Amino acid sequence: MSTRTTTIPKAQINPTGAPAGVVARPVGVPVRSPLLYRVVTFLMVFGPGLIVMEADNDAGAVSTYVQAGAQYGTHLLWLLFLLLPICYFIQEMVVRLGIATGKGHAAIIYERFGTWWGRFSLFDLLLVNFLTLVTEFAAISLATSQMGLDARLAVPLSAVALVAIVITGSYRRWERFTVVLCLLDIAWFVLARHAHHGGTPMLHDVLVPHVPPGGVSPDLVFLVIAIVGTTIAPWQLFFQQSAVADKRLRFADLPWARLDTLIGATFTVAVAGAMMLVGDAGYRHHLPFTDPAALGTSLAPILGPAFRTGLLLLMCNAAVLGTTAISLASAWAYAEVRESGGSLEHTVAEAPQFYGAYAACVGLAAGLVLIPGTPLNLIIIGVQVLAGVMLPSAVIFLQLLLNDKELLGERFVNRPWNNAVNWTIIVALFVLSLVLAAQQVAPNLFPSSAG
Amino acid sequence: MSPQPRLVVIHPLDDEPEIKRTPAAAGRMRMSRTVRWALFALRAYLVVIVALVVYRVYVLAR
Repeated sequence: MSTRTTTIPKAQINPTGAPAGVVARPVGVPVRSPLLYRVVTFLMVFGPGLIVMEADNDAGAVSTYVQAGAQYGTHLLWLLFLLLPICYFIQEMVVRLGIATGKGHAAIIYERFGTWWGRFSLFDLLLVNFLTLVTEFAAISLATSQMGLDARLAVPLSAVALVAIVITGSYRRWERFTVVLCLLDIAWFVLARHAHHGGTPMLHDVLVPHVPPGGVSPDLVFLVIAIVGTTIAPWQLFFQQSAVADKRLRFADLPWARLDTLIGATFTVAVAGAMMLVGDAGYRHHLPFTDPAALGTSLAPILGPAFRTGLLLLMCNAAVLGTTAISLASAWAYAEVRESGGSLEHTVAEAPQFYGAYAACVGLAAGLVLIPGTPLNLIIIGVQVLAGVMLPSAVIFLQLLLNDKELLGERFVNRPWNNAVNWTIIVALFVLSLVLAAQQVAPNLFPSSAG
Repeated sequence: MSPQPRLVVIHPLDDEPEIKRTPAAAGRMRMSRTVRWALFALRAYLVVIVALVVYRVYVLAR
């Protein structure tokens, strides 16, 4: 059962729940009021929703949002506001699936759609995740170099730290540490406040969809698609379902897990908005954009050196957060398909394949970044194309699974309004990702950006 | 004196395992018309994407 409500005479209460003379660790938190009961229950369930959303504000997202601000000011803030419910709807389905089955997304696709689709999904996930990890370490290398540190030291140290935080054999320890990393992103609001003094025009840009000055151009279309692709990523589906299964969330936890996801989506979109406002400082000062680190350097004489240092540190935090979540998504999926048992509650000896997959993802990506001449631009394009290919297929499987009454029963299956919303989202994602992929692999099919 | 009501909140990881809905018992998904069409659309989409990649490689190779 889920959280328990009991009426026990005070004299009979054994706080550890163990027989007399036996020492056991406490299994529950006694509370005195229904309100506290709800608050503590929520705090215990809280975690996967915030982490999956905020980890999506990774190094690539920082670059995309800051670029959007640097090139279009606050004129694309409305897009983030529009993406908030889409993020929530997609991840809420994953939560339902995870709680109902207690299994990860990769395992369910294998079991319900067969080996071919299962292998396709796993291969696609592992490949795009690995390439994304390379971009995360490239960002760590860039940011630490700008801070005067030797990237040849900073990147391997980051990789070792990223492995160390998962091998403690405790899901709770990893979750608490990662939630703290998520909350460090509150500093983006401080930077945004320093860079931009908001007001009515900004509120208009958030609430009213409009085309930025200069009209529709191929660059704008590309950036809009990149923002959508950055805000909703395929690894998120796999990550949250596996996290929900690993945390062993119960049927009764569903409302709290939904709230966790909603809070995560809202916080993440707000942080993304703060990133755009940081970029907007460059737009207002007519500074060219190449990457967030360079923009921070350009803004340092105007906004101070602390602004630049803060931006570089937050870039590192975004990359670290993205790396742990994306590597875990891969490791969980791999272990689920191999049926080798992958849980953060296991020790390394109990789950060697799970931890081996995680360490391999982190180690290989970090190693690749340190090789001189690695084609990072090609890898970034590869990430965009593969993410574009994978997202619609991942969402299609999700939608079919959420309509699978045989699997989920009446309680967890999609309602008609869910389906109407989700099919609309799927069609939009299909069109956008097709345009993105086509623009990347065949730029001659579209008007030139320069033109 | 009546016993004081006590509420105990148990962390999911400390709770007894719940009996979940098992996909292994359900086997493969039944191929309804919607499922067939969705998978067909997905295959078509993948074919188009692969064709675009091949076109790009061809252009680069020329």
